[in-house]
Amino acid sequence: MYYFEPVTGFMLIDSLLSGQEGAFKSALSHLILPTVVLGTIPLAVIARQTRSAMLEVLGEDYIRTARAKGLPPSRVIGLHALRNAMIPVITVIGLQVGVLFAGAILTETIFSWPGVGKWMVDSIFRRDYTSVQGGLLLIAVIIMIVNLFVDLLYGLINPRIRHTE
Amino acid sequence: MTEALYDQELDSREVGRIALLKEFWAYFSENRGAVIGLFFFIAIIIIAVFADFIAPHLPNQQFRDAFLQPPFWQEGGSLKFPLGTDAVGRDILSRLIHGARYSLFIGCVVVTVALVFGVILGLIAGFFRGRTDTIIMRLMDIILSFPSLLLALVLVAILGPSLINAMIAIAIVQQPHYVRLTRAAVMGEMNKDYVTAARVIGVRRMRLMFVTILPNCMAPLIVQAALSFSTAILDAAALGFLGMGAQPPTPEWGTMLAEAREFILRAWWVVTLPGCAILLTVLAINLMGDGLRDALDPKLKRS
Repeated sequence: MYYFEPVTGFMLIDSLLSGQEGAFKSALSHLILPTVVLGTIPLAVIARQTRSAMLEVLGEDYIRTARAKGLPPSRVIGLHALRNAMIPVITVIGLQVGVLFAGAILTETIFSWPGVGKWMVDSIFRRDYTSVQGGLLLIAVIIMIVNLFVDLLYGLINPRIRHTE
Repeated sequence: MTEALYDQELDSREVGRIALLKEFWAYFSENRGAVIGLFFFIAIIIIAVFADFIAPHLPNQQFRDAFLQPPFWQEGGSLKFPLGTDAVGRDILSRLIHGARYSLFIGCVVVTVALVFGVILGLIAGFFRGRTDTIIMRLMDIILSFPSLLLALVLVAILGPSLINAMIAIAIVQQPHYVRLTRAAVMGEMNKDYVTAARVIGVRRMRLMFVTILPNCMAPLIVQAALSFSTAILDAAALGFLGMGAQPPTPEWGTMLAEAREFILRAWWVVTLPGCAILLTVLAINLMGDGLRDALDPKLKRS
């Protein structure tokens, strides 16, 4: 067992700051399973979306041009194709934030992590409507900000979107 | 004479319908996963309907001499309880079989409620446009901006935890998808010639909405219904797991998971088996839904 003061609130950083031997490793090992549980569903959704987007893009003419120029396949797939396939993928990644919060409720309950999800569930059980409202507002705002960010990313990835009014 | 003509017309309609079904089946059966999913789903329906006859024991009957007994293939298990017993000596297989009933019931109710209200709202929004459209769609956008499980959780918290309230909450959360789909499809159909023709003949508004336009918007709705069936089961299980859905001792799969959580290290079967039941059912329905989408909606076909 380790005890260290919450300085930043991030367990990994705090455990490093505390300077105790093995604290960081222990903190890391406790994050593995929740991460896997929480990440699996978005992983599947993003993988499927990427696959269908890549299949569409790989049929384009400019991919054939890039191949004909003799570029290595890794460059064709990783740079030419992936960049254009990213637009729908990023949309889906943005939408996954909502799924992530919903998953966090279950994951944090199972692993007893005192996060937003567990806080929400606990306050629902205690009929603490003020904190339910607050938590819901917080999550909704985070989701909206992420979606705004995603919209801005489109321009960064695709110059055609960047340069149109 | 006119009667004969009428009969003939009816016949040709019938033939057309059968041909359509055949075409649908041809597309559907191309996808092997979808067919497997369909058969699995039918099997679950049969199990759920005949649960009283199939289940070896009553779902809530306690066997005081067999607490946490492992499945029959493990040491200490017996064929009396093929999948073992839980912490208060109830047969897990019987509870799983009866749980299938609850899951299908939840799926049916949620999909029906969401579909009916979603279609009506979507039809109104797409048909009238203007301010009505704006009000309905903004409302739906608000619902969509929350994570579905979270909103369902909050709704249940307000309504009070029970299976019925959980179903209402999940239906409310799922309804915007139907509204959007219906609205988009209706808007696409509105400009077509047959709608104009129907208007010119003087078809009344209600008939135009429900008889002329709606049947042509059904394909995406059927697909969405099939896919949200599984989401409904999953969400209801999640709510049950959090103690917000079906209350113990109801043999609902999510509730069973929640009750058994503390035994995960010493009795894996109490936790794993309800989880597997949820997984397999949802997987089967999703596979079936994907097949339906490919068969009904060539536009959405994935390469």
